[in-house]
Amino acid sequence: MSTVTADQTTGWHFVCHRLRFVLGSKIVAATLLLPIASCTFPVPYTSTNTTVHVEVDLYSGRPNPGWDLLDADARRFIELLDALPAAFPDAGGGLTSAEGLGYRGLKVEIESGDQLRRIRIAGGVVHVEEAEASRQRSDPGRVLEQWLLRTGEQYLGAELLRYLLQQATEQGPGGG
Amino acid sequence: MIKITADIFSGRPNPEWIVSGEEAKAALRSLSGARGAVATLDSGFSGLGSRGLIVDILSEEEQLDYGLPTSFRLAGGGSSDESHGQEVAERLVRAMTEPGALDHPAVASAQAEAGSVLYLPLDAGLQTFIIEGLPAASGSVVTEESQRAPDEAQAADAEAAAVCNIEVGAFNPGFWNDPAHIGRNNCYNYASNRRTDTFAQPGRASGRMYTRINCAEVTNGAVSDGASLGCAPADQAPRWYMALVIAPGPGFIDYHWYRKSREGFWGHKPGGTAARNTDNSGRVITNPQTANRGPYTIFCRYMFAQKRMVVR
Repeated sequence: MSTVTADQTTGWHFVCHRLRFVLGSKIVAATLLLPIASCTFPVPYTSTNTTVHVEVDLYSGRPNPGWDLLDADARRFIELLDALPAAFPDAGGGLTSAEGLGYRGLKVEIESGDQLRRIRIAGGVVHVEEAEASRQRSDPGRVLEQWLLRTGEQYLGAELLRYLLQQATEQGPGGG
Repeated sequence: MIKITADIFSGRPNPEWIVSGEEAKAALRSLSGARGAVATLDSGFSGLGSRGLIVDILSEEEQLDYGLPTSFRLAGGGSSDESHGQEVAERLVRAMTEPGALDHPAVASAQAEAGSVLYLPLDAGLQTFIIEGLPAASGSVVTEESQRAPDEAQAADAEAAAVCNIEVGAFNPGFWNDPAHIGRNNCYNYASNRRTDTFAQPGRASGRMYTRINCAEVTNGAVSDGASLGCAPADQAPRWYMALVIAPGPGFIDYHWYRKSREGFWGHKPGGTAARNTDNSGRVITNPQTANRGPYTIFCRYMFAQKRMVVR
């Protein structure tokens, strides 16, 4: 059973974040493994070994739509994810309230080499699971959720995208 | 004046009759106010058995007055308001042929073209046969009244279960929510009680998967897989009691199924999420017609999974 912990190390997180994008290389990052071991996201993004898959969790009968992010979008997504503020475990019921029939949020898998991060985004809450740990972040205004939805326009179609963006508002499922 | 064709036979000609006067006007008025009950001729259930009624409006004035198509299908499983269609259809069957209807010029003209075998008056036996063939009256679908009030719905549901012998299993969400299976089985797997790990689709196992998401297409897919619209015989036990609903869009278009549990409530599994017995309001589902179904606003019908049903 994984545990949910609040990331209150904002300063250290910022250092980690800068390190990752300044260095940007798995090899270099590996040499710094010990000092950055407590970073929130220790796996750096590299275009050659990182895949970011997005699934919109909405259907009951049909398979959910999904797509892989383009390289530039994948890099941007990880930037946005890293920049999210920490959320306390009791910060809100976004993930639990987006249950049942209808739009339930987004599932994202970041696969980098042999490491896998599973992310659930719903109702302004971002839940990240990797290895043995899990933690929650806050998605104010559901900006990350809306941004990710827009990356899938060609897979979702304009009408469904419009519906989803309408749902992914402060007033939508799990919101506000 | 309207011509009614009961689309029930496969080999012999379908029975047809005329409804005119106040009865015809009342039917058209009722359908004009509930257009959801009116379906195109090519919609609905297309297999053997009752395919509902075909309605032809014989008067141009009436067609314009009520703003309805010249020809349409009623109570054939292809509309978004089947219960209302079934109510009107039953009334039209009971109306039978009225005296003098055959004298109408439009009927006389059609009669001359088609021959004298058409427009035979319905006898009581055929009338009963047609009414019983309509889904609402067969016991496989809960009636119009049940959609309006929960208490009546429960009564109608109980009546359906009494008419058709069914099996009900204990609610067992753990079987479905096991991490190895939860994401690989959907509402159709759950409702048919077949954990295939294939995210089953209606009609896929039998090579007749739906091509559009509507009540008729998804129903036909399930029937093709072996589900039954009417009571299933004892040798087809276990016969699970299922309910089909549709999210019609715009944007969000999907189908969803429920299955009745031994405890009296209904269980369901929204896609790859956990099986549960509660609706979108967190209430235990005692009636899938009145449950909070989110965007799945169209209730299609009740059906029966049976032994020979195969899903994939």
